This record gives sequence, structure tokens and C-alpha cells, in this order.
Amino acid sequence: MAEHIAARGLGYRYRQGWVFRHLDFRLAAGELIAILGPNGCGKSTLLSVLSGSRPPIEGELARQGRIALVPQSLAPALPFTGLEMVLLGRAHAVSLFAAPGPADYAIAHTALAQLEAEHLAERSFDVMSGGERQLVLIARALASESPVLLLDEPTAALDWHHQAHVLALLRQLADTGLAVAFTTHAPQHALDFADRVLLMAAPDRQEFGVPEAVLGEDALSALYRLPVKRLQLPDASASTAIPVFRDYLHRKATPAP
Amino acid sequence: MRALLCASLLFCCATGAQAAATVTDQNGRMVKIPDRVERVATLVIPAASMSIAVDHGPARLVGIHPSARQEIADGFLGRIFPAAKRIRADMAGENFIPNVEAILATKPDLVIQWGDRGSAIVDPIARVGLPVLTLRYGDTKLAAEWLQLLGTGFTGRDARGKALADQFLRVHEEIAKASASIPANRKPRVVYLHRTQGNAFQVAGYNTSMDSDIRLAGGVNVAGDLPGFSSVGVEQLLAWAPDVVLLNSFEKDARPAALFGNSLLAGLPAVKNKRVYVYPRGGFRWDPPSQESPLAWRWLQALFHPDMRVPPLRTEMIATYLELYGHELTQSDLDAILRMADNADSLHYREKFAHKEVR
Amino acid sequence: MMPMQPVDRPHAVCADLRVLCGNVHKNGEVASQPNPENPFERQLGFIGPWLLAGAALVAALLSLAVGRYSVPVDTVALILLAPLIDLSPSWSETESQVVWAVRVPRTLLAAIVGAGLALAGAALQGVFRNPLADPQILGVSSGAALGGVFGILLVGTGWPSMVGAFAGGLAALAAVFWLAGGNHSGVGKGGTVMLVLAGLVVGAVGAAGIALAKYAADPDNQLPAIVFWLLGSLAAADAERLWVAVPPILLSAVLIIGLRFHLSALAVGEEDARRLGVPVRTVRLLTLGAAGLATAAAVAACGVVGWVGLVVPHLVRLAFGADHRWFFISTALAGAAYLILVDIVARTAVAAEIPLGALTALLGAPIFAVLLRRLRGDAHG
Repeated sequence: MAEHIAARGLGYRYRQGWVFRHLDFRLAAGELIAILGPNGCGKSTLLSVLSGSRPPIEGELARQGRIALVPQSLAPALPFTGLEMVLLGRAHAVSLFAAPGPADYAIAHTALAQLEAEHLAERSFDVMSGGERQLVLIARALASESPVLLLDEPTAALDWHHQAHVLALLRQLADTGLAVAFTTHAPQHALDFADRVLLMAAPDRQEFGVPEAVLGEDALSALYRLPVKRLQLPDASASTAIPVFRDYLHRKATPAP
Repeated sequence: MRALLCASLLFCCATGAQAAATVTDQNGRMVKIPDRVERVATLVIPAASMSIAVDHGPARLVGIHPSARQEIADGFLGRIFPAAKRIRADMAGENFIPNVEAILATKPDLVIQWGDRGSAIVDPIARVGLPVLTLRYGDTKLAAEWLQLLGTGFTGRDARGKALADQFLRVHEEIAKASASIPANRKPRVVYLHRTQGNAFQVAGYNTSMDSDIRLAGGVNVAGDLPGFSSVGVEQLLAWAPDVVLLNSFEKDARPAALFGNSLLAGLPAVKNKRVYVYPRGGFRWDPPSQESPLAWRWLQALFHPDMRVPPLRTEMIATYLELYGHELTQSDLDAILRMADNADSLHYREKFAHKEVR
Repeated sequence: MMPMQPVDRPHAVCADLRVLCGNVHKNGEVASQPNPENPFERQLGFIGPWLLAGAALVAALLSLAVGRYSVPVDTVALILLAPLIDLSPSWSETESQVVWAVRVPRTLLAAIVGAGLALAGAALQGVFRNPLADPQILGVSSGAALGGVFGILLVGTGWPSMVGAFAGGLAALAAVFWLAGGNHSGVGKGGTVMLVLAGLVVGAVGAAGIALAKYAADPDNQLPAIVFWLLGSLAAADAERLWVAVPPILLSAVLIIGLRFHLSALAVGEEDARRLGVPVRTVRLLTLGAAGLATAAAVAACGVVGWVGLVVPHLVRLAFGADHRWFFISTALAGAAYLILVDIVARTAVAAEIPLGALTALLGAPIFAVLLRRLRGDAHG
């Protein structure tokens, strides 16, 4: 399998301190990898580094093939329609003094269709809801026809139906040969869809492996500093991770010794 | 008794200069003119050369406007009075803003300033205790009072100032009377071009001295409806179709030949008939008001009404210059002042103003 | 189907037109389909260039037909056709002069300068990702003005001011680049901010230089020429100035319209655009150069005329949308029509010539105030 991203001992810091260190990561064609971690642990930064926007401060990073990154949010300064935003995905294929042609427009429409978002083509991007914007941005990444897709919290503003739809689409894309990685706050996504998961447990410690193995109760509870239970549903195929918020409530009421 | 008289006399002399006369200047201000005025500074540009005329020389003129010195240096007055070229010339900046320290450095007894441009340029001078005589710009007739006021300003020139003012007004009246008798349809349509560079023309509208001069000399100012100095385009000039065009004496490239060669203006009656004249430049430029304005009016009158019998200008100029500056003009001086070379091709010019050899 | 979520985000500038076109219902809910009752909504952008070309043509014809010197319209038409059809002239030489030597150059110059300034503004708004950008922001206008003033001071009016304006404008652009570290592509957010600050500095230097130059100028000849030139005017339009203005602005237009897609793409942000494969540094360099060139040429040809680059692109965006396929061409045509019409007012409204810069400011400022209020509404989303 072609390895599109290979990172070893990756480290990045801001002035305040290291965001992550000693990070190993590999993404190959046909793989769907989920990246989990608490807020502020550097998931977005990691994607930034992996995509080549920022050079790593430590470690080695090898990339192969064009990488499309779907950012968490976007606030363009000038108005775009949904279609125009998706069309931007074709920018790499358009020469400097040219503009997208009919083929590019067709690809853009197809991408939107893949996301059940055709109706957003003529709508203005800045009046779309957060979820609609995410769909458009994912479509944009698809339109770029890149072999590697990195998505930053692609399901954050989506309802469950659309979460399922997007993740299923990502799975499907991975199955057709793309290399896909996405960040998420939901361990369930990793358990149900991903081949591997990267758990950013601490700034200098990560776990990387198969979801079932990595996402144990202890690991998750430590990660989110909240009791998390792993349950096997009667239907043997589904394995769940459930946050017990109520316990957290009790813990807050009676301070720990 | 005698002792008291002597004592009081001594007292008066000892205390030095007292306010001798209080005059009302042109803007209604009461100005106390000191007993002895030996040093005068003027921020008003024409007042510099006018002072030299009134005071028979530049000896008591200690500070002038930079443009005034430029004018003196480039013009005729600098030839007659070379010392005038060295008068300190930093009395004012842009828009006649006074340079108070420079003014004080000349230790003037009296300062001349415009009074119709706001008190902001007058107060700073008055505040340092200097008497300020203010003047007004507009109709050229106002310059008569300038002569009179300067006469009262310079000690011992009261009579002279009055005499020059009276002569000024006499000529004014004479010309006004002659113009009044001209029927309206015989009055030429005239325009004064304040700027001509690059087909961006500026004309003199109402409230300018040029407008008053044109009307005085029996002409019609085509730009009379516009305020002050206004920019106009070529089309407007063509639409006005003036019979006579007067060119300013400020721009170095403004001369009749330039207009004759400008294809855009070929349609002007003034250009077709070659009635384009550039203003002469003597002890002062003849376009703005000055002590030589009576000559300027005669010049205009001769050009506007070629059929009218007027006294020969050259003779008038010789007499006037003797009166004003005690200087005897030569024939080539007259040609230079009248810009004979530049105006030679214009209609009637040689006929009216060239030297006629008397055999 | 997406559940309808209440839109608490304020409408974009375009949204007002969408209300008109039925896309947004009056109760604020956003329609998910383009309104089938209004088939024009989708095509509005495409019509833009044609409508505006028509507008520019009408404006030009109007400009040729009116003026302080009256020439009957049919005579104007005959005069214009004369070179093509052999006619015995039924008009006077002066009338012919007025049409060919005064109005034609002036109309052409207004068109080209208007187009150039509008394009420069649109291009700069794209590069700076800021709807408030215009040629003044880079300090290029001030630099060109200073160069022109020096030309007048040292040599005289006419071609020296034009050469000076060119040199000054391009020098200002180079200075802005040097100050902002133009060699670096401006990685991260620092790039744009630095450019704006550098433009401020250069603009301030230019203004200070002009003030000093006015002080040093000969009050009889130079100072009035300087003041007049700074106010901006097309009164001196002639073939020479057309030669000065047309080639650079044409080149600038070719560049900017050529870059339309990638330039529009910059609006998503430098980092994102770079990731998408937009050659950000090249696009920025070429765009700034083109905008600077157009501005310098405009100032060289007719002095300082502001507000065109700010207002025209916004009006075009409001009316026809920002689709890169039509937007820049539409802006150029709209700029041409706009300045032709403004110049008609400048030279015919009253006997005196109204300074062009004053008129564009008089018109532009209120229009822009309205736009600003709309933008403010957006910003507080």
C-alpha cells in the first residue's frame, strides 16, 4: 500500500510550550484514521503540520501526493456561492491565467452530489449554517481529487444523520483507495468507521493502533477526564463508548480526596 | 511758567514716540500710527512697490512678502532701486500667514496686512504690540485708499499719499465716464486668463480686480458670473466666444503666440482677430491693483476701443514714472514694460503703443 | 434534507439582492432552492458585462453629445462619421474641434482611467481580503502624486508631471514591498497587515512630501499648477495623455482579468488558498504590480482621483455578484461608465470646471457610508 504520510518523532510548539512531541503517524492509501484528543491538544495543529502548512519543529515528515485539508471553519472575506467554494478545490489544476472549465464545474457538481448538498450550490456561503458549510468544504476537498484527505472535525456541527452520511462517505472513499484521516471528539466514530486511531493522550505521549485496542475504558477516561464506559451491545457488531456525565456531576459536588 | 513748559517739553521728548494719529484702515479698524515711522513691514504684495513709490524709495521698507521681492527682482523696480532687491522677504508664508518672529526681527514701526481674509492672520501681529494697517482686495479702486493709507503710514508722506490717491481717482473717473458713453453692444466681450497651462484655464470672475478693470475700461467680462478665479474648460471658453483675451503676466509661457498656435482655440473670435494681449509688467505687474493701475486702465481702454481717441500711453508712462519713482524711462524701457515683442502681432498693438519716431 | 435552521447570521451584501430575487423570504428564512419564480436570479451575473458594456457605450455617446459649447446631436453624429463616410462638412471647424479634440480624448481618458482605478480597487480588495481596500491604501496614489509634484517643481507641467507620477507610483509600490518584507510571501496573518501598515507609512511620507513641495513652490507658476493637478481633472485630456494612460492600464487589466480565478480564491485566506494550490505569492505580486501600475498611470494622466476603486467594485458586487467569471470585466466596464458620467457633470453642470477628485469624493463617500453600514452588520455576526 502506498504510504502517503509518514511522520516520526514529530513535534510542534508555540511560545507557550510544546503542543505535541515524539509523535509517530502513518497514513497509507485505503486507510481511514481517526484522531482523538481533548480540546486544545493540538489536533488542528497536527493536521496543519501533516498537510505541510507548517514545518515541524522536531522530527521527520515524509509526504507523497497532494493533500486536501478540510478546515474546521472558514470565514471568507468576500461572498462565495456554495458552488464557487467547491470550485476552489480545482485551483491546483487551473493554470495561473485561466479559469475553471466545464469539466471542473462537472467535478464540482459531482462532489456536491456525493454529499447530498446539491441544493447548496447557488446559496451564499456566508448565510449557510455551520453544518451546511462543512458539507460544502468537504465537497471542496473531494473536488480537488486529491489522494489524501485530512479533515478537521468534519462532523462537529452535523446532526446524527449527516454525521453518519459523511463518515460513511469517508469510509467509502478510503475503500476506493484514498488515504483519509479526520479528527473527532467522538470515540464512537473511531470504533464504527476507522481502521486506526491516534489518541493524543498527553503532549508527549500518543497511542496509535486499532480502535478496539486503543480506546479502552481507562484510556478514554483518562483522556477526557470523565468516566467513560465501554459497552458491548446485545447485537454483537456494535461496540460503544459512553460518557457518564452524571458521574462527573457527582464528582464535582463532592470533591475528590 | 517757562520752566513748566520746558519741563513738559523735555518730558514729551524723553518719553519718545507717542501715537500721533489714529486712522481708520480699510477694514474699519482704528490704528494708532506712531509719531515717527521709519521702518515699515508689509505682508501685502502690491504694498511693497507701492511703498517705494509713496516713500520715494525703499529706504524705510524693511520687510516684504517673498513674492514681492521676486517681483522686484525680476521686474523693473529692481533696476531703478537695486537696494530693494535686498529687503528681507520672509514676512509671510502661504496664504499670508505672518511669520511673527521675522516681522519682529525687522523692528518695524508699522505693519501692513490684508484685513479681509480673517483675523487669524492679523491678530498674531497685533498681539506683539505692533500697529497693523489692514487693506482690502477687490475692485482696483480700493488701491486709491492704499496710496492714501500708506501716505499716512510713512512719516511725512501724508500729502504725497493723498496726491497720488487723488490722481488715481481722477483717472478712474475719467475712464469711467468715457466707458459710460459707450453703448452696450459696442463693448467688447473680454476674458482674463489667470492660468493657461495645459489647456486647464482659469478665468477671473466677479470680486476680482481684473473684473473691475475690464468693466471700468468699457468691456464685458464674459466670466463675470463665476466667483473669483475659477477653472473652466476649453468648451466653455469657446462657448463664451470672447472678442478680447487678456493673458496674465505671471506665467512665463503665457503669451499671445501660444494661443494663436493652439488649434483648440482657433475658433475664438479673439484668436481669429488676433486680439490677444499679455499684460505689461512695469514697477509692478499691471494685472493686479497697484500704483500703476491708471496706466493699466489706459492700456485696456486703448485696446478695447481702438476708435476712441486717447492720450498716447507712452507719454503717460514717462510722466507717471517720473512722478512715482523719479525715473526717466527710455524708449527701450517702454518697449520692455509694454512687452512689445510678445504683443507685436496682436491687433492694433504696434499702432497704439509702438514708439513713433518724430521727425 | 437539511432541517431549516434559523439564520441568525446577518445577511451578506449580496443577500439584499437575494431578497429582491425571492431567495430569502421576508420572514428571514433562507430558501433552499433558488426561487423558481425568478429565473433571472441565477443568470444575473452573466448579464453583468453586457449590461455594463451597454451602459458604458451610452455614457460615452452622451459624453460626446453634451458640453458647454453646444453642438446639435445630429451634427455630432455626422462629425463622428465623417472619417468613414465622405461628407461635405455642414458643420464649423470649431464644432469638429470640440468633438474630436476635446470630447473624444476626454471621454476615452475618463473611460480608461475609470476602468483602471475600478480594477485596481477590485484587485486590491481581493489581495488584502478586505472590502475597504483601494489604491490609496497602498500609498501608491500618494507616491504617484508626490512624483508628479516633483515633476512640476523641477521641470514643469505636462509630461514631467506624468513621468514623475509614474516613477513615484512605482517607487511607492517598491517601498511598500521593501517595508513589508515583500520577498517573503507573508506567511500567516502577518503578511496583509504588514502591507497595509507599509502602505500607511508610504502614504504619509507622500503627503508630507507634497506639503513641503507646496511650500517650496513658486507661488505664481508652480503652486497653482500643483494644487490644480492634485485636485484631479480631465480638462487637459489629449492624445499625449492617452498614450500615457492606455498601455499601462490595458496591461494591468489583462493581468487582473487573467488572474480572476486565483485572485478571487485568495478571499478564503492565505493558508487555505495555498493548500488549495493557489500560487499565493505569485498572484499577490502580479496583482499588486498591476494595481500599482494602473494607479500610477491614472494619476499620471489626470491627477489624484479617489473613491472610484473603493465604490465601483462594491456596487458591481451588489448588483451582479462576485462570480469570478464576470466580476472583474464588469468592474472595469462599470468603472469606465462611472467616470465618464461623473466627468460629464464635472464639465457641464456649471460654467466652471468642478474638480473631478472632489466630485468622486462627493459621490463616493455617501455611497460608501451606506455600504459600510451593511458591512458592519456582517462583521457583528
